[in-house]
Amino acid sequence: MSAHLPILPILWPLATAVVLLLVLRRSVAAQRAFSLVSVLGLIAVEVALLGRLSGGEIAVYRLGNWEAPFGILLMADRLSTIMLLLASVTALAALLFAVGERDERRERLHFYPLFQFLLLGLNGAFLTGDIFNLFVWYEVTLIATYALLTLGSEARQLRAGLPFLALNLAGSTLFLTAVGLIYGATGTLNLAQLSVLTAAATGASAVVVQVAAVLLVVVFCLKAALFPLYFWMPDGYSAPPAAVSAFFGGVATKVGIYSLLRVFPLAFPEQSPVVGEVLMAVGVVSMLVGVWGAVCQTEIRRLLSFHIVSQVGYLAFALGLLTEAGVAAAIFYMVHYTVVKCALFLIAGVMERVTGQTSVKKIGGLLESAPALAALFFVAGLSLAGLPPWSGFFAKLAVVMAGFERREFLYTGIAVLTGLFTLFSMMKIWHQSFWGEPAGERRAVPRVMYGAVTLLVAFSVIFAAAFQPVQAFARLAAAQLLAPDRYVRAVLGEGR
Amino acid sequence: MELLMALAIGTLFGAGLYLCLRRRTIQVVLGFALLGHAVNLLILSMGGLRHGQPPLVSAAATGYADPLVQALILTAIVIGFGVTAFLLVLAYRSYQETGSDEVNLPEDQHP
Repeated sequence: MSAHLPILPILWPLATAVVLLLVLRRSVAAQRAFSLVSVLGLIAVEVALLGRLSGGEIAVYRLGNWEAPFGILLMADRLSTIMLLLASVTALAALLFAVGERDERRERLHFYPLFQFLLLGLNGAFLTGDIFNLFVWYEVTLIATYALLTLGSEARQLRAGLPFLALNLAGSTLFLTAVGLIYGATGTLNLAQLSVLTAAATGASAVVVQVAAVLLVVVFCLKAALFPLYFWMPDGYSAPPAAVSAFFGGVATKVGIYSLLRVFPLAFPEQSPVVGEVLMAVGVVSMLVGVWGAVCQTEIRRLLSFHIVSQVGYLAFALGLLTEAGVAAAIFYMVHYTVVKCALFLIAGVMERVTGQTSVKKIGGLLESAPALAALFFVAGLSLAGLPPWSGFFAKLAVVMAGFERREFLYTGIAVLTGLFTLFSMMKIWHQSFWGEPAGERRAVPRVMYGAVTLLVAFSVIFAAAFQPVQAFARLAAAQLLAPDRYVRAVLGEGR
Repeated sequence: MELLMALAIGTLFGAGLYLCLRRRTIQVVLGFALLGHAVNLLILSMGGLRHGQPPLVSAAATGYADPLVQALILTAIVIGFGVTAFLLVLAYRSYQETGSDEVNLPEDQHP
């Protein structure tokens, strides 16, 4: 059984989706229960995988036992298990929240199977060992995303759906072009083998490899919603129901960052330094543009969507440093921020539910009428802004220290400054919606919605309290990631 | 042969890109379909163009055509077909809902 552990995170949501579609089609209550139980089981599987890989083993799973590099293979290491767990934990919270929403019309339109397909695509992308399958899993993720985004067909969703789809489709086209070029230049699509072959390419092949690398950077930045390729995101992420937008905002953009972390140090060791410089510059601009965009917004979930651009900028900056400290900071930041961002989106969902309004200007006095919500927002909001003692402080500290270590003083200074703007925009929500005179009606909210938010906020607090072990683990994952020859040996065997 | 393929790919890319930049959804859909074909041809020629060779190696064969690119293209075609179908339905639903065929509605028509 343990030999097949690396493929279980892919098979699990697939099987769940099939059962939901075929067996439990008629009963929404059964679908809710089964989805939740299934995600809990998935978390257990991934914890087992983490237990096996935390020592530094790189698990390689050959489908159909075809020898690498000829067959399709899955590859799991510390980083991929971290990502798997992040996706499942946020999925659990989002599903709990969706159960609380009791939106039976959408639930009848196969909300739960679609959610499992989304999880399937993400898990596949985190585990794949070759670049063409990365494309395929991107597509699985995207198709589920398109469907969830437009599920329910409200005019607002449809309007947001078309540009979202068009831009992501453009990204997919570029991705496929890059895959074709890589295959033409090197004759392989296996990431570990590419590590050897892209460095050895000469003449025209070397130029083609460079073009492909540029295309891949563009595609991954588009998926990660980095400046200037973020236009598809704020509308798309604020249109669907809160549970969906929370999961999108928490995890979906991280696939781009994960791909940058996975593909460049491993498959393009020669091009990585230049890519790193570009990512740092792009990241810093993203930080500022995103946070300025957020400051101008009044609709809570749109505001939070602009913060994604800014926060992803931190990730790009930290991983662009390409030092062990930098990549470790990026991983820790990603863990913290996925959880916190998802929590904030869910809090926004509760705020909308309680007041029936989506704009901060029309909501007031929540501190009095929903003190528990105010406490949760206080923790999550300050954590996003990077104030001690919350997890965001430690994450930002790690990024800033990694930046200073590489003597990138200007960029790091801007990163610190961005925290101030973030704080300002969180204060804006606090000031307008939680303080002030209570305005408008108040509606009761199911307990389970609070449960979903509390789960995520508790994780954020745990990351802050257990900062050192988490950071140490991120450091190990980064060290593993920056030593591509270990992957080459694990996949292709010794002596090649 | 290579020149012909290069010209075909270039034309398809150009036409597809032009259509993608139009305002009406149906043109954008067609544009992406053309871009998909362009990329598929690109992948095909990246595997090396060989005339009259079998895709499977046998004892009697003197050479072979790369079968992997054909498998890649097949996958890409299936995905492209699904996404195009979804895009068409979405475009139609959006037209029903808003009465407009434009990708980006003017600001005053936003909610």
